[in-house]
Amino acid sequence: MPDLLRLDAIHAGYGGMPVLRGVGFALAPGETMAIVGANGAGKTTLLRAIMGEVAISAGSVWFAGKALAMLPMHARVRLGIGYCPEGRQLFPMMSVAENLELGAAAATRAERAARLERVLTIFPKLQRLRGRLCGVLSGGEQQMVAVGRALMGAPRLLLLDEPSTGLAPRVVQELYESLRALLGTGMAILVAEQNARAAMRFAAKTLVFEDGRIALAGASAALLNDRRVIDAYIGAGGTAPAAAGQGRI
Amino acid sequence: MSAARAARPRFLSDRAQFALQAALLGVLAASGLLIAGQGNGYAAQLVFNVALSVLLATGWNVIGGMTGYVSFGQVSFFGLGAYAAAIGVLHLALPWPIAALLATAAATSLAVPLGLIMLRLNGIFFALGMFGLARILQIAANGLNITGGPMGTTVPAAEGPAFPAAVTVVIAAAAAGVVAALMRTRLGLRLMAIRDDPVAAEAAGVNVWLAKVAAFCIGAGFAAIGGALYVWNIGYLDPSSAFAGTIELQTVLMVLAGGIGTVWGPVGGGILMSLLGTVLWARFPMEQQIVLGALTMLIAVALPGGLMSLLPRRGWMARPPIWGPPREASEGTLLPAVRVAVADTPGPVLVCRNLGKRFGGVAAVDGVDLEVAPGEVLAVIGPNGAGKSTLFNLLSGFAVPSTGEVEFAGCKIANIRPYVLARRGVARTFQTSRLFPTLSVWENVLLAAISRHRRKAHAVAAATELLERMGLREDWARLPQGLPPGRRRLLEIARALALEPSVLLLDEAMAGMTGPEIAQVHQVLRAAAARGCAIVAIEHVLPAIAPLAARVQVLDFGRTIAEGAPAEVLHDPTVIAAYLGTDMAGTEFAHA
Amino acid sequence: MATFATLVVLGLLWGGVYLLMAEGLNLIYGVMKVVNLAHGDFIVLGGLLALTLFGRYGLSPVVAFPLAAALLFVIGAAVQGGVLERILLAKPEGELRTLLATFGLSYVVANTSFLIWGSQFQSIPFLQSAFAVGPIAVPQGLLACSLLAAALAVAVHAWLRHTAVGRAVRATAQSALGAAACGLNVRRLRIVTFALGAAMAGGAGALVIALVPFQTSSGGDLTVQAFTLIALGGLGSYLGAWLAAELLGITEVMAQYYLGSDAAAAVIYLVFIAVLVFRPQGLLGRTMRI
Repeated sequence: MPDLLRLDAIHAGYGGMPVLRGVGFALAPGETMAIVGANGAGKTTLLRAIMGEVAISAGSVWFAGKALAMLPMHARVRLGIGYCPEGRQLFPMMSVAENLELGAAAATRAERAARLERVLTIFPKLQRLRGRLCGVLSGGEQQMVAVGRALMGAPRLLLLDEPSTGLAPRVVQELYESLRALLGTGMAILVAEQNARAAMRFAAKTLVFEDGRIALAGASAALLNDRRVIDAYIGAGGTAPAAAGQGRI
Repeated sequence: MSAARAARPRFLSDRAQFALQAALLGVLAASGLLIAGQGNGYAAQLVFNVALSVLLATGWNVIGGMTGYVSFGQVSFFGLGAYAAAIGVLHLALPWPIAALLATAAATSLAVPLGLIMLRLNGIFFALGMFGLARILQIAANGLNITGGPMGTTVPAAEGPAFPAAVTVVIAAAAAGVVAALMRTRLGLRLMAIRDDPVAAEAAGVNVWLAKVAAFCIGAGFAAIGGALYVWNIGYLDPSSAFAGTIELQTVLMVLAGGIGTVWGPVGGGILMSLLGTVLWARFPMEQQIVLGALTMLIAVALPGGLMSLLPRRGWMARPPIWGPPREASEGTLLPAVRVAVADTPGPVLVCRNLGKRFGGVAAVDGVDLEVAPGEVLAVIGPNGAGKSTLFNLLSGFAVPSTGEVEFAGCKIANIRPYVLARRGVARTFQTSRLFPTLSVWENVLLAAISRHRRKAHAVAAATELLERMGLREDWARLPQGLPPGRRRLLEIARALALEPSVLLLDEAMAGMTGPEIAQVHQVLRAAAARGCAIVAIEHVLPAIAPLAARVQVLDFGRTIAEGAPAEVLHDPTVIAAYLGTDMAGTEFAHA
Repeated sequence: MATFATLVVLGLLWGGVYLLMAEGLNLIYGVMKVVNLAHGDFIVLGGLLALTLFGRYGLSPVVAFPLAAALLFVIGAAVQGGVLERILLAKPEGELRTLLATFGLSYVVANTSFLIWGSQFQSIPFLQSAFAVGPIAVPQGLLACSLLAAALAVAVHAWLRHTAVGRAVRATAQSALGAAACGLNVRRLRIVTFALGAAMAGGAGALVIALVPFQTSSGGDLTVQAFTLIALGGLGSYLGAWLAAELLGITEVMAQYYLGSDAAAAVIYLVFIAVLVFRPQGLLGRTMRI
């Protein structure tokens, strides 16, 4: 099967400071992958590089056989990449329905209505919140809107940047259970997570990032109890409470 | 790491650099004097214009560039100086030198109350507020009958432009020299810190308010002398030329073209742009302003750092490092006295009772009691949004509590400004790193050290020692953004410790650090605690701080839900429920 | 009492005119968080264009209104697309650089106008009669401008809420990154917004020159006046701007009547500084944003 997303040894960073140093992997249609690692390992930067939010200094990103270099973010979205950026980036003064509908800005009215129905079946909680302003929702509800909004573009690939940030573990669990509805639909999902366990239980494959490089790669089931994953988070010899992520930068 | 060290650039000594710059200034001033003394009226007038431009640009740069308060009404003080001098000469029959001096003094003193009002504003508000001030003054001058109202008045002028040109050259060179010297003083360092981040400056013990007003007055003084010299040379004064927007535009353009916030930017920009303006005026009087406006746009877009940004950051024309470089550690020779006053008093050094803070209807902190004794390390943990950072703002004076009170060393801290608290010994770091991006690693630490030490040698020694301990001395000349994230955190802790605090508040200081970096921080914190410093450390999770902390206090929804030894607390079912959630609904945490 | 009532009515009507002159600035600030310092010069340019259309071809300001708006739309698009976009892309200090760039632009526009129209105060005689409502004489031109301002305010508000492009503009205002993640071309939306804001300035100028004489150097004052208004209203707030406009209108009219025109000009600046110092969040605080 041809790759949906392929990264060839990409390097990227901010203001001359390298963050990603030669990251390469591929993702097939329908495949799910967790990107885990400590703060500053480069998870968010990786998603930003895929979306063109941060410039790539070397290497290339390919999506569905097209090189993405030079394309602005909105063009990448229209090619079929759904993106939930860090901090959710909702429109706080607009209603849930408006937020969701903006996610399908390029679609026809009928398509939009159909997709809205589907998002509301995935996140039934949003049904009764449709008219509520996003700014007043709880963190978990906001995250559902953010994922829902990305789904409204009917993407072939969904990028989720730390969806569990600021959410109680129970809510994280609920969120990932909802996301399971997307498995088997042919949509590929790439989720970057601080909360490694939640993401690894969800995604089939896992990449462990350390210092801007892929330190470990493999099936999530095999890596889930791998001591080296814990080490990647808190340094060799450390112990961390299982369910809580490290503090954010 | 070793590659970075190998790449360490070589420097001229800062004294040599300073001497070279002084020599250049001398050469420029001497050539100005020579040309003015040639006896050619046109050339002398040109020199006058150039020197006046340099003077005005230098003055604007003190407040607009070094302090970061861009003004569109600095011409207010030019006009005030011009009017005060004219009134002195016309109506008090003062000789010109005395009139000019008095006018400068008057405008500068007027800058104190005006600064107190205007500097409450920031950014665009300050810029446009100053524009409004200039317009108000212009309208006031229209109503001033003794100077001819809107029609203006003639004033006895100098005979020919040569003498005013010479005087202006000397004053302009002196002004540039003063600014160069200022950049190497405590005030200069504080101004640059305020420009970079006023909140962090306050936390480092800077009286932001005082420093800003001082800069405002210096800038006003330069502009006022300029105004007086202008009238003396031209012999005529009216409101629309004294408060002319054109002067403002040209001043801003000169500073921008030369390099905002640098010593040489206004000098170079002033010389180049006033010459360009003169040429344009001679050839295209109607289009001159269009060209200058377009040039301002071009520079703002294409070369925001001005001509100075084309020079190497550490070249001899650049700003020399303040009081640097740090010498090799000289163990024990100049080490500053450790602050022990608080450690002598028995009982807790920081206490808060029933502390609460509400934002709108939401209680971020809701009746928290907390105390920490000298030498104790207290960890405050809790999930995101538990109110930890708000608690710190209350403890460090950055926020005013809605209920309850905070006592530091037996005194209530209500109504004490954060910088005063910082100087008295409450130091803090911020959750998102707030280093001063345009100050070097060395200057970041030195800024806090000068808040603690009156003597330069002590401040330098203290800052040097801290950099050494943090393993940052090799990186002293770098800018913070050139450091990896973990080392930036180390630098922030070093800056807080440079205040030699009795209470150190660390807000997730170890997030993003590598194992060895955390070990280094632990070592430094142990030493600080051993000296009697009380440490309150917020962390999202416990391991980063557990090895140090004797006691842990757990917050959730703004309340203390558990307290005790680390091992105990981690097995407390309430704490586990807070982190892991329970079966009840509504346990999710608001976004932090 | 009748005088006072007259002054209040006139003040309210003038408030409409102030709103007309500030709406474009408010829109641009609301979406991009930048202040266009050439806003007043755009107003003057629109007005002087209307003046020429009136003088040469006898077109009334009402006809000149869309033409001036169209011209300024093109200029605005060129400025944002050609100049300001380059700054937004290359942060940091983007706000300061944008401010300085529009400061330069203000001089370019004002002095270009000066080359074309000279420096005299100029006005268009249009709808100069007044009609009486009880004891109050209402100037027709003022009433027309005020009503148009209200209509325009409602139209813009409706556009922002109920059209696809308008919603996209609001989305960009609330989160540019979020908008891009929705597949919206944020760059183009910013250009449209700036162009629209400039067009509103130009259109306003074409109408207002029938009420107030313009000079090519009036731009700076008009910018400050418009900025005062939107700052008073709470930058980017629609209801706040309207309320602020009416307050300013009444203040100005009262000051003109009781203190004279020189003092009235100073009053605007005093209000401006007082607002900034004492009520920087605006009358209504941070509610009702775009």
